[in-house]
Amino acid sequence: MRNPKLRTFIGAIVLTVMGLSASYSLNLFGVRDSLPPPAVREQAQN
Amino acid sequence: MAQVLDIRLEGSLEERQALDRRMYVGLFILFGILAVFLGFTRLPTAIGKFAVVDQASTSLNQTTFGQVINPESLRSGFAWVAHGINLWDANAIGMFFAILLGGAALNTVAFAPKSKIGSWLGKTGVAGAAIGGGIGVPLFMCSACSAPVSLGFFRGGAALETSLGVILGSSLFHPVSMLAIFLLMPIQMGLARIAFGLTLLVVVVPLVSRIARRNPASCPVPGVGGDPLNLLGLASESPTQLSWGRALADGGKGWVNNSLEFALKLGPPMLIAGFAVGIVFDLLPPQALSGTGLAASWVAIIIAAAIGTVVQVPGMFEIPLTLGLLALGLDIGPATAMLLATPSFGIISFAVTRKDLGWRIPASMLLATFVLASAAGLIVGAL
Repeated sequence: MRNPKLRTFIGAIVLTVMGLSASYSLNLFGVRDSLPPPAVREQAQN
Repeated sequence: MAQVLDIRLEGSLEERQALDRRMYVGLFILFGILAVFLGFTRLPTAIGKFAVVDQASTSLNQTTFGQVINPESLRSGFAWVAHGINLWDANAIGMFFAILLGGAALNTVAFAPKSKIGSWLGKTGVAGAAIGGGIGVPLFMCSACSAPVSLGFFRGGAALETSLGVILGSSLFHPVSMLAIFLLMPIQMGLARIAFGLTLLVVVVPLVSRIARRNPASCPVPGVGGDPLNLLGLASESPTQLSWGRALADGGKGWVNNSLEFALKLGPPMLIAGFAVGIVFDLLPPQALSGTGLAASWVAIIIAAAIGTVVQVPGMFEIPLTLGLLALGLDIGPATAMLLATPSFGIISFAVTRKDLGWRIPASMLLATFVLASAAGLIVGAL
């Protein structure tokens, strides 16, 4: 892939995907439903 | 990074006037991103992890602190998919900022006067490795996420020792991890971690770099990966004639271009390598070591070092992982090997650095990690 514009375009797509992943991990959208570590779950249940 | 800034500010008046304003823009971007990363995500997260890091059950059947998908909920043979997704999720924030920091580091180093770069970031041997280690410590990143930052320095012109040192300083001398290890584990494990980190940093890195330079044909050359001056067609301009507005525009463009290039080259290998780590966790779960009857033998130490060398875990996760293994009955020897090898170089850092450094240098770091972690496990186990 030698075309600089194509490289920039695909790089922008990859970085956007990574940014969205990071936003999800940070729960910026309020949609994250991750499982906390078992120890934390146990504490919450107790 | 403080050394870099200090050197620029301590030069003579003529030297300071000759400094490229784009370098200051690069430094501003670099420290700005680092401040946002540390202040809003990494330090609060490290403190949050510290609160649960002493609970061995945190690591049971997990490869990260938090899960998006529970591996046990998938059909047999597909747990690696969950491990890969969970690892990507755990690394997503660090990796995203690492790409941006790598782009900013490349900008800063490449725009800076070469004479100054040559005197500090270009140092080889133990000094270069130590400088790299010092730069890495405040990043608070695992060895996967610190790799793009390291490549930013390398592509900008920093020595191989400095670039490898950034990865090891960040992953093995994470201040919160070190505190947790000394608070929660036997003292010999903490001392072994320090000895392991220092040996890799000041002995192995200079040695590997020196051997690599003996063969110029295959040795990677720093500073050729993407010079922002050439990239932007600015090489003919005199830095002293540059207005601050133009410097800001050029610095910003260079940073964006570098970051997109890093994302293109480093994002996909990191994703693929994350799933490879998931396969290793699926086939050879560290917890299984405790139930093999080998818990206290040298075989267990070798297996623990081998697993720890190839896999990678999010920052600090090696602590609950090791505590979990100890709680399940594993001896201190193999547990030490796991504690040392897991945060060091692994599959992901190999995949990320391979294109720039070739396969020999990251493979040598993997081998050194395995040998030294095995040796540390044997020594601590025999005490």
